[in-house]
Amino acid sequence: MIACRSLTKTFGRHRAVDQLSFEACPGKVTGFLGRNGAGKTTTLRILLGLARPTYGSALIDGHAYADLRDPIGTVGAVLEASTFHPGRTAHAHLTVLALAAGIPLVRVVEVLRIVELTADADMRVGHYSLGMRQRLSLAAALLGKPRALILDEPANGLDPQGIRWLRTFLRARASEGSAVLLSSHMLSEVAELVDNVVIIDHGRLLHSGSVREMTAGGVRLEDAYFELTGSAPEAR
Amino acid sequence: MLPRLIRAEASKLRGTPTSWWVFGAAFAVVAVSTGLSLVLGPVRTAEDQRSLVGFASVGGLVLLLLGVVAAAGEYRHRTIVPAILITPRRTTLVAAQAIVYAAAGAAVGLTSAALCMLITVVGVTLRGAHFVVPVEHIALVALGAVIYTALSAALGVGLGAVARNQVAAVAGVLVFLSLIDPAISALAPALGRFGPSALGIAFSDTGATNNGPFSQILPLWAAAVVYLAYTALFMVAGTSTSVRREIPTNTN
Repeated sequence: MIACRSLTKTFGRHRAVDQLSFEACPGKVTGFLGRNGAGKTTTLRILLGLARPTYGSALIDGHAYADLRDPIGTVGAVLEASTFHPGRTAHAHLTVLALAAGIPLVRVVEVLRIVELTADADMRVGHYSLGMRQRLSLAAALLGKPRALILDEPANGLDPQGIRWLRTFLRARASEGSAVLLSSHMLSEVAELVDNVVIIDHGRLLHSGSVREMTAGGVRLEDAYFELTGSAPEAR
Repeated sequence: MLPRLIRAEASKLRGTPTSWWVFGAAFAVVAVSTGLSLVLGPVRTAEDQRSLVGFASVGGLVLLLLGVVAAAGEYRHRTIVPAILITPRRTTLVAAQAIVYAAAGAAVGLTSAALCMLITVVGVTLRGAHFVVPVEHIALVALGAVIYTALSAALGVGLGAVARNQVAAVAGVLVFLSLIDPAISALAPALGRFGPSALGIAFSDTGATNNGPFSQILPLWAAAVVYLAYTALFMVAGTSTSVRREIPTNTN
């Protein structure tokens, strides 16, 4: 279970996240939606221990990230498209992470196969396309066979086949019981994928609930979103 | 956890082409410095030859730069993000990196000492002189090269962790070493002997009286204590800032 309770983060006078509370449950894909600058990435960074909350809590399985006994086995995360040294190969990058986490190196080969990068495993990451880097980030997130996934705009840079592959993959993870929290500002990409949505704007919660509720009566997710945010449909 | 991180850091060091280029550069600096002095300077007396074998330590400052590049590079290439996701305890991350770079520095220092001795012995013989430096002195110089290069690499890691901006950190170190450090030694020798370049000369224990702008040199033991203190200071500062610092969103 991924949960935020009254989470607040300020940068000087700017309130990036404001009393935000929501949950992402096991077995479900939860879409974390909002326009650019809504506070999604800041929230995810606090959940992953990269930033500190000003107030409130962001917990995974009841613990702050820094207090998790097995962080990489609890949650896998994709935050940025490029967190690699360009001079290292994908295999070398994952080997470093596996060694640091105490994970057998055979798992490196497995995750490369899962994200379909086996053929390019010995290519330097500096030569990778954005889509390949996204897949490599996902491979790193899967190294510890985590029970939950936190993904920040994971479809960025993926081609249509890649997006379809990602959808299938995340649905399979959720059906195995993982909690998947997926941030996006691309509504069309997540509409077919998510079970629940958490919509924020200016750091505040606008809506939290199931997609089924939101789209009851044949309303499209996009239309329901724009009605809630009161914004022009810029984020399609 | 520390042994795992040390293995990971060692794998990172081996798998990064920059590391091997820097090791090569350190050996090249030692070889060129020793070779040029052999060709251009006197080689007959024990003092001449002690000066030559003293070049064993000059690669230390190259390893200092490697430490800076490695630690600040974690922020430049954003590899700090997966590192922290795996190991939220950042103190251990910095410690593991410092240990691995110190070990690499020690290996480079030992190899540099061997290279320097080899070039000196061959060069002195080719110039028709006898190599008269006693074995005890060679051992002391080799030990000094190992300690100085190892501490330099760890000091660089601490500096890089504090600075975070790789380009600014490398430029700052280069400006300090090439301009500020010699200027301080020239203007205030009593203060300049505590600078990294003068400490490097002290580690090589040449006993030479002509060291350019570095006219005052500490005894070997005192240099070791001072350099160890610098390294500890920057390691504490690097660890402390790493723990306090939030990891910002990539703005690239």
